[in-house]
Amino acid sequence: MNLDLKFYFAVFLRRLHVFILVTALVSAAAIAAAMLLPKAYVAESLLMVESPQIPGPLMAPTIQAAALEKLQTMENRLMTRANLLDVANRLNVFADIKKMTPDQIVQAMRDNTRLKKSANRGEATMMSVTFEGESGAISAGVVNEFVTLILKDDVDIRTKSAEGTVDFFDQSVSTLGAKLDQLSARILDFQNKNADALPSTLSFRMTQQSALQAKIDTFEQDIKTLEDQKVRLTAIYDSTGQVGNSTAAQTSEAQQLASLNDQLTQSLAVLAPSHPKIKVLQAQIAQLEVIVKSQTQAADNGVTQSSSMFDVQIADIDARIQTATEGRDLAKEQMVKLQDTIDRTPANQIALDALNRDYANVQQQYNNAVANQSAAAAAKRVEDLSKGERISVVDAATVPDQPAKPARILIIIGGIFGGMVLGLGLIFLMELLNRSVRRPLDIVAAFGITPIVSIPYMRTPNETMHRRSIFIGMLLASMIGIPLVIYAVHVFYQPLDVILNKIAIMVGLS
Amino acid sequence: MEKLEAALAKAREARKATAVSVGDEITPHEQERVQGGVRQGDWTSLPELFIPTELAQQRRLAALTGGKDATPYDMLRSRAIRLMKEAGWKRLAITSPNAACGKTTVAMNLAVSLARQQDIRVLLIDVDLRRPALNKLIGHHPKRSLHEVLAGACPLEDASVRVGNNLIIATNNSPVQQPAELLHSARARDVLAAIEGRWKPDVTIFDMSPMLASDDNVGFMGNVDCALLVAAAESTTLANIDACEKELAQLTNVLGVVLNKCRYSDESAGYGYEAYD
Repeated sequence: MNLDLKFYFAVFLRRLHVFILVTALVSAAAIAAAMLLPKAYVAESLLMVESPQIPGPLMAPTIQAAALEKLQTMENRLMTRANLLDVANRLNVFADIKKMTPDQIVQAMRDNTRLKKSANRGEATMMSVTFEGESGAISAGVVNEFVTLILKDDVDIRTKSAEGTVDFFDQSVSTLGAKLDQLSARILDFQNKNADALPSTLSFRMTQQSALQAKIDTFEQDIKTLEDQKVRLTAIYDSTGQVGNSTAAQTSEAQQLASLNDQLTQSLAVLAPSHPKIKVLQAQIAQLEVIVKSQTQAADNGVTQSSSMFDVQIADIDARIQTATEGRDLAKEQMVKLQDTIDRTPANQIALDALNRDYANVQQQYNNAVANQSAAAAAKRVEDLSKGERISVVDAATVPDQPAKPARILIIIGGIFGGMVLGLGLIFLMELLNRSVRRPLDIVAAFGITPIVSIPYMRTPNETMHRRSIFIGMLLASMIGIPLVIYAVHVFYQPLDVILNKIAIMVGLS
Repeated sequence: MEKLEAALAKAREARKATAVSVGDEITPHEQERVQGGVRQGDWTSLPELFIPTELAQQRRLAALTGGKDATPYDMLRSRAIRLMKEAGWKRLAITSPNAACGKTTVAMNLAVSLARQQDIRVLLIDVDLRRPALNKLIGHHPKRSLHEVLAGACPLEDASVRVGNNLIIATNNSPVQQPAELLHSARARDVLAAIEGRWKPDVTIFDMSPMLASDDNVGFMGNVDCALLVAAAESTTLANIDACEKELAQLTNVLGVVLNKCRYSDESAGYGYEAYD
């Protein structure tokens, strides 16, 4: 193993020229790149998605997007062609922007912009906006422009969303209100049309119905009684020619006279006929007798006084029967009508119930809409006052005074290292492809025979001299060349003390 | 290991049937006896080449400069000579899967290292006729080329040079158009036998062409006793080694695999790079 390592090292040394050549070429390219790459200034701004200041359970937000989703939306809305072109042209981001096509500008802007989002569970959601520009001022300007656009966009989204929510509920409230009005109008109309047969008056109408029935019965009774009376009267009249008893026909004076006569009789039993009181009585009676006499005479003057009386009484009864019959018929008519309304009531009840149900449904929707409307309005107020979830600037971009790129040291070290790796790789590949024997062991391993002898490589004096002269030449070249390069750097590029100072700063010595 | 041994054994069996006799067994004693003879080649008559240290350093001829870099070649030499002596082999081919594995360098170093043992005579022959490299390595361009020698157009002396007392190096100064036919030819085999008979080398080293590049080796391997496969670290793949080793084992005896240009040693290398003085 030890020998093998030695052997590999020897092989490496044998191919050293390849290694040195490749390393030198790659290193030179890296150094040239490090020196020639344009300076780039990087400005960065840090944005944060702030949680709502009013807790969610207390005040439901109108926007439910997750923070990362929100940032992604923001990013896509920011990195549009129009935005990028606008910013690039406004801030004159590229020195030769006049020569660039819009596509190139957009591509360059995209290449130079970095939006890094971090949203891990249990961590604040952050976004950093970085731009790499030709000068510090441009970088910072672009980043701040982007941040402004993002913030504006955020406000737009939030307020628009809040307004949209409020508008929506406003609309649904008014729609539902109109629907309610319509429904109540229909209910009213229905009730008006069926005012006589509404379920609410059913019991009243039932009472009325029984009252009417009672009334009809009474009328029937009356009619019957009167007809009986009429028959009896006719019978009496037919048999007697009189209409009931005469007393019935006595006038008030006659009755008074009779009463006075009774009084006189009684008084005569107690008092003397000459008693003043009897005298008074007698005078009164006399007077009354004259009147009654005249009255009686007058009555008797009629030839058919009794038949007239009968006719009058019959007519009276007939009139009364007539009245009762009319009343009964009217009641019956009312009864029929009432029955009709009662019959119609159940159907009306069903129709009205349906209407009321609709109304209740719409009413409920309306109530919900009103509640949502007020919630949305509150949320909108929250957004208006910027108390909801929002994007805020944690760290605004500042103008960098040191270019962030190119990382010259890193590029050079990387280049040298890469060149070495490439050189080693090339040697490895060459050795892999090289099937020639190198040492006696190869023959032993391949054929199991030991070479009869192995003769070392011999150099002629000329070759030795040649090699030495090359070595000395390279030594001289480096001895003269390196100071020359340093001198050239000092004179044509930057004074050495400045460079050393820079290196010291970079390394961190001062 | 077992695989290789099995392959080697199999190849040996196969070769025994069609074994080509490579002259008489020549011992140092016999060589001593025939030296100076009329028929025998006179080693000292060949032109001597002196390879300066700077050139040796530039061409990675560590066996010449010595020091710690010579150690692996010395070890290769010792192991190879032991194995060859055991089996009585004299001709050693050095090949590789692909070009630029360091065959010629290994061959030259091995030859030099062998030649440092004064009692061994070494003949190093460049038979990579498509891209001759040995002449450039030693910085010597002979009058005639070895392929002419093989074709019977001229003697070995015209294409050879001597390093020290006991190392002859035969090289080409130009490539040849159709080397496979030449190398496969019976004449080449006869010429080789004649050369061996005349110069009596103890070890003949053939610097061959890459196996995967041409068919030159296929026919010529029958002329050698054994072969070393040179693999270059960081260039030869395991698959190449596997394929060549299997093919080589069918053609001749495989002495082993040499891992050249090795930048990493490990336990299996068996020795450190420090000079053990």
